Amino acid sequence: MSTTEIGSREESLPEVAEPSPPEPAEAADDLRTLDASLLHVRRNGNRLEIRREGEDDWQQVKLVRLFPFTEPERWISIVDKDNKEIGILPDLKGFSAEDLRVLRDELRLRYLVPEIIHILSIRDRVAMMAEWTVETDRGKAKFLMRNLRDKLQEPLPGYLSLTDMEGNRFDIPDVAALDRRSRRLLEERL
Amino acid sequence: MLNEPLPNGFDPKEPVRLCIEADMLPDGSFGKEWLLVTDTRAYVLAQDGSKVQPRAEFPLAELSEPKAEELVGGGALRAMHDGTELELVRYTRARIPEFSTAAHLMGKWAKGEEAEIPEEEARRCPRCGLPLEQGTKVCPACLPKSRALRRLGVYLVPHWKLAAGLFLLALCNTTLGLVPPYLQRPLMDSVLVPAGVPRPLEQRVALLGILVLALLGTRICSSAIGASQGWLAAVLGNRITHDIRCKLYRHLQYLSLRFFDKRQLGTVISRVNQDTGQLQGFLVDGSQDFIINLLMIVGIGVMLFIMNWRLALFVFVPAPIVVTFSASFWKRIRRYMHRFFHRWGRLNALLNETLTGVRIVKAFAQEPREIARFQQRSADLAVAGIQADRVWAILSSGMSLVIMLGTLLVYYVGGRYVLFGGMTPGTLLAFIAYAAMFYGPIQSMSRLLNFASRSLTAAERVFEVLDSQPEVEEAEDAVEMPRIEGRVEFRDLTFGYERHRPVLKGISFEAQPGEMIGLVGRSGAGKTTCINLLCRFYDSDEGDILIDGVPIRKIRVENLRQQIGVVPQDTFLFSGTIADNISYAKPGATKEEIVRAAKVGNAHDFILQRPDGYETFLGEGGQGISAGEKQRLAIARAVLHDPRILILDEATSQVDVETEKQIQEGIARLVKGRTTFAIAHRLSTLKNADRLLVLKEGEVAEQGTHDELMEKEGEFHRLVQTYQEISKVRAVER
Repeated sequence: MSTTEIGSREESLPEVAEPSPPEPAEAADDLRTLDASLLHVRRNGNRLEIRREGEDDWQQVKLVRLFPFTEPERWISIVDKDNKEIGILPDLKGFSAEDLRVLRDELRLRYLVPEIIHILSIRDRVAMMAEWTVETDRGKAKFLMRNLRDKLQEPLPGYLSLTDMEGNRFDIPDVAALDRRSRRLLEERL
Repeated sequence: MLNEPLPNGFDPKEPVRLCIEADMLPDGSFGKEWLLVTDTRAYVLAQDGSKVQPRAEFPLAELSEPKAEELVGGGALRAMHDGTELELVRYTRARIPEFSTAAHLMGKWAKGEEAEIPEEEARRCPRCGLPLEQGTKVCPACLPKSRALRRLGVYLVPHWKLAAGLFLLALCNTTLGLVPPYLQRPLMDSVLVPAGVPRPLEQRVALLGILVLALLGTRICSSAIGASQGWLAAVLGNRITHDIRCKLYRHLQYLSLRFFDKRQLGTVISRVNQDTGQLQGFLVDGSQDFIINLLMIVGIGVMLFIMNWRLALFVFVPAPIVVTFSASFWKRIRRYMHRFFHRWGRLNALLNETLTGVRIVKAFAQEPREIARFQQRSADLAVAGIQADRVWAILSSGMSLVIMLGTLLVYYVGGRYVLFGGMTPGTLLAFIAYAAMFYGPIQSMSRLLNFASRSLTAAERVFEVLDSQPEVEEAEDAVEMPRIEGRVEFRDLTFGYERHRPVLKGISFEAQPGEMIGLVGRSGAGKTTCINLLCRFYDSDEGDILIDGVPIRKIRVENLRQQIGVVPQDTFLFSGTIADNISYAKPGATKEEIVRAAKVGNAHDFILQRPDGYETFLGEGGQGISAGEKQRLAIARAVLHDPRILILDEATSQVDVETEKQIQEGIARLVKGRTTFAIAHRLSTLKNADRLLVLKEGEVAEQGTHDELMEKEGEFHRLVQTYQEISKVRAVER
């Protein structure tokens, strides 16, 4: 970097500082972030309901992950029955243990994509199909894949998402975290 | 499926209407439950140990508003019961269509209405139960290969002379291929190292000359035959695939839009390109190699047995090893080659993407990031290439070793025959030459069989498209309507792209000849669907559209399309000149007609600014032409088409005020004297329309003139207000 550049930068610094920066409060307000400590949640039948601290009404809501792959438990949007956003939870921290359990249950019931923990076997079947037997967080599953490469997406490095022949999705959140055998079976096919 | 067999051990003692297996438990883990609907009751059955027991049971009439809620990766069927919402079953994404249909049916049955179980799209092979790939009904596992072969045979019939010639050549070539080793025997036994009393030297030299000449002769012949054989095979294969490709394309052009809706464009393109390409590859090269190899194996086998049958048996011993070894060899190689080509494709895709978007890359100064991305992919490709070549090198050497072992066996056993008498060295030499030739075809056979089976699958997929019938078909008693007056009536029109999700729910409406109707509504209200049905891209599920009192299904499709013109929202321009694009609907149009149409559409003035005038070449998708100019070309195109019924799907894209004015002028001239349906986004169009039809969620919410509806302060009033607010914002932004 040349000296003139450094010089010009030093000069420009006070200029930036002079006009008052936009108020951070306003930006946060735009996002409508919610404070976990001011919210209560409960399960009513098969629906999740929330109540704000100081209010009496319970409101039926849905949880939407804004970054389902990278932040499954942060940046969660709370929307009402008509899919209008009530606000965003930047973090689940701050909820009581009981509330946290209710929220995690709700997420698990809304996001039904199983995550593969172990690949038990990948067997070739007729007509270039392969039968995968896997252990997932939702139990053991068996599914058929064909043209693996077309049906495999890598939304993030190391995050694999497979779509089987019936249209069901199976995710591998972190290939490196699989056990050796599973990884070897997978790599043989990639 | 909607009517699966009842799980064992449960008897509802009533006729069963629906039985669907759900593949998830209420807690979201995998497991089996069943939704069972009988004449009067609904059950949720669950597994309890080895037994199946109802987990919940309701009188059908007490369940209201059943709906299949879509979740991420699956869904849940819910219904109201006694004022509270119940969750009946959960299921994965694969079962969503079944349960959506079930929810629809249960809603009707609960209210006591009749509803038939619709025909399902088969998603599993009816024979073996394996899932089918989306958009195909061909099960790759139990496809009768012989049927595809027979159908391919039909395409061979017109070229049978060529095919017969080809077969003859292959036969000749194989026979000639057997000659050289055979000549090695006299070369050895009578010329080089004759056994017993040798002939005079001159004779041996002469014989040597004759034998070498004979060898030369056979080589020349077989080269000539090989060349013509390759040429003929290419002619035959290309002709057949040309026939199939054209037939396929012709068929695609006449298929209904619904066919294309159900499939991704990419898969349709790959049918035309890849599947016929694969077929061509096999027909040109594969089938020929296949026949030659087969003939070779038989021919050499026979020769070996004739020369020495005991020794021949030793040649056959390693054959099974070669077959199994080469089968796994090709499988592994193919896997690595696939990986290599896949990465190559990915590198190309990246290159294409970033160079197309190079402006954005530069604008955000992201060159280093793109360079890094490219380096990563290039390195991946290099790794795959190294791996493929390494595996190839190792495996192919291993393969030659296995083959060599067989030959060595012949050396040893045959050598003993020679030493102990019973075989001449010449015979052994010829024998060894044959044995070496024998394994080549055997090892490529397994590759070719695989090739053949994949090609037949490709053929079957092509035939599947050829077999699908256009849904919108001309009625046998279709009437000629050379000139449509323009009276259009929608009569209780109901339609859904998927039958269980209606988009239009009983629309009734009438337009008089020459009237301009504005279709208004939020997106998803059914405006475009109305238009699609009016063009008869689809046929309605219930109700009808009548034109001049004739049901649209009874009008000759050709007559109808000729007299309906569309100015679409997004004008599609084909690569060609401006004149070509204007006269797309009327290929024989004169120069005068084209210029006149352009003038009416207010396109003439910008066209004459171009150095090449009306012959300005437009690239694919109309590159080098602005949005406003595109719209005016579309109007000119419609003017030349001169339809009786005009459909105007207004573009939402913003153009400057002057262009806007010119477009409006063009449209005003175009609609004169034609029944016009306009999907209106502009207030000016709404005001110009004779009547407005306000759609809301697939139903007619309001109709009347602009002023009537504004006075009524209903749905339309609300829409206009929102629109005006947006316009104000836009005006400020400008």
